[in-house]
Amino acid sequence: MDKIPSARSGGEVVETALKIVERLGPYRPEVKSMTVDYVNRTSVLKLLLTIPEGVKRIVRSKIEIPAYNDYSVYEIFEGDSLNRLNLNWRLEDGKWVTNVSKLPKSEKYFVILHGKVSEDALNEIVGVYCPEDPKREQDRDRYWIQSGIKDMSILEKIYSELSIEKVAVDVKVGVERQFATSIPKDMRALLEARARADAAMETADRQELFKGWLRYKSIRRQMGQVTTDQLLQVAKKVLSPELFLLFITIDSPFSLGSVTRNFQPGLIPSNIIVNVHTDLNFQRPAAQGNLTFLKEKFANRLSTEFTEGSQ
Amino acid sequence: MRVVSEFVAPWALPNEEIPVHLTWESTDTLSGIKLSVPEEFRVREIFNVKRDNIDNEERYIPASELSTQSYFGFLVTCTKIYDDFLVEKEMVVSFLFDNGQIERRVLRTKIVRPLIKLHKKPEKVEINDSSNLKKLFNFGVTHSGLGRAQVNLVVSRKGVAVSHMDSLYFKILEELIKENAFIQSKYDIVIDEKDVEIDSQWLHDESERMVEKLQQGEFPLERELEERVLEILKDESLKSRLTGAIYSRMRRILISRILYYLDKYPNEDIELAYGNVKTMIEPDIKELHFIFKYVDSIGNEYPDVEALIEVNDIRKDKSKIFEAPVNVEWKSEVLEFS
Repeated sequence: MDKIPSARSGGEVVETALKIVERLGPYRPEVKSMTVDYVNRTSVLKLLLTIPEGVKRIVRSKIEIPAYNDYSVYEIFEGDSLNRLNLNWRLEDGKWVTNVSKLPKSEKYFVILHGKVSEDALNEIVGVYCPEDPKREQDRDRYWIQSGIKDMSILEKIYSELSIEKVAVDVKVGVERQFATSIPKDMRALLEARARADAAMETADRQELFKGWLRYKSIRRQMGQVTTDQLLQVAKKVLSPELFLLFITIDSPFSLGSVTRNFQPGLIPSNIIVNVHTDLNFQRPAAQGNLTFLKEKFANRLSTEFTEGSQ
Repeated sequence: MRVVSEFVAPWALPNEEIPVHLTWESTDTLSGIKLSVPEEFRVREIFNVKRDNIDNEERYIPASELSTQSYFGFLVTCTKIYDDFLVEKEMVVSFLFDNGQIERRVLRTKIVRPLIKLHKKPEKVEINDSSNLKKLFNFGVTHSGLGRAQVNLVVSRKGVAVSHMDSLYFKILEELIKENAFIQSKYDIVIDEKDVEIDSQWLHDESERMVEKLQQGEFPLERELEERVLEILKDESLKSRLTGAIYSRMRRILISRILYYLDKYPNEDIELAYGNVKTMIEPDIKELHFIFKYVDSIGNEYPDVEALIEVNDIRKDKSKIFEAPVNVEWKSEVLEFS
């Protein structure tokens, strides 16, 4: 009887946070929040510590915070005044250490730790999906996007607010067809004539060769100085990320991130990779929305750029 | 009980991940959730459940196993390739409450696939002295499914492939052979002056891939040449020089042959794996087997579309082997679905 797999309880991200909390036991730590940045693969842990005055301070002269997963102290604030403290932390035996004697009178301290999260750990916490093929409509292509926290038990363990920021997915938006159809007819004729001339050269068929080159030269004369290179330069410009974003819409709660051209094969991108992200938390453990590519508008713009570019 | 948000992926290819999630509010106490999916569907993962404790046949999640009482999700895939290009499927998530109430949520998704059909093919092909050798083999292919199809046409005679791709690989091979590159083990690196950017990592990978294919005998070469090529590939330094020669030629050809790229996508949902296909016509040919193979965007393979065409060569001089292109007219019958 097989069992359906479920995510490990937050995995390493939670375990590490718990270990830190455990080691800080004497200071009665309260985890105020944990935020995971999906894109940068970092986590931010905010804790409230109680460091009593007087005798107890003499007995424990150092605060030690374990440096698991590259956790380090980012900031520490005095609990009463919320003044930021400038303490010297040194790394000793895998722990961040500072002297208690330097602390002001407050008993409460608010500590912010920054750490790293591995890709495996991230995949245990959250899932994000989109389809390979869009739904094709007359003037647009649509991709559904879903993201969800896989395991909320983190909350149970840490008893606090958890949020995962910039949960991201790359949507591969296909553009080859728009490109292929937007090249002006005369440019296309030029390319075809050139290809036929090349082919004739290979067969060493004199007649074919002659016909091919005649045709190529005649089209070139009509078209002016446009060469393959210029065409490619125009392609590079029009398929730039900045321009491309004008033809993408995204439903909230998702936002657009980076846009990268995917060169495969050769010179003209076969698709553009649009990074899309959202934030998830206890109130919103899952999100859904559509990414839409306004392909007809894009093709029209390409045509315009090609026509203007060749003038 | 009030469902706050509900999601199921509206469409997916076979074997593509379909995420589902529900969030809800309820004043009544939940006793558990029952999941029901079609037989061909496989539940891959469950979200917000504490341990790997849910049986994959019973699919009942007791409320105590939920990490929080207002959110649940799962990942499912359809493991079957249907004959129809669009099949609507239902999943049911039932919320069972302590007070006996049951709330049933029906979630529908569409399993889609590309579907290639031959709508035109030659009945019989006769080659005579006045035939236009470039217009012998004419097919019409319709894409009437959903989702992109990557199509690879293979032509064979008695089980042996006689087609080759009018592709980049073959072009490069032709050049190398013409220059006697294999016989002399001499490789000119063609320097290209143009300042055009091509992803060098991609070029590098493609060059290596072509060398691999050479090594595995994937190109129809004459026996002697084939042996020579394998000999060369055994020598590490010659092999690396060959890879370099291929790299530079590939770059140059790509720059001058945008058409290669443009012809790869005859319409929105068709990608020709290797460009246009040519077939060799050898003496005594009687018939040719045309096989259109296709896969979808995630690599699912679909049944081939085939045609066996009788060929009758009645030319006076049949001794020469010649190359005939296979002309394909692509049509798309993509239907709207909501």
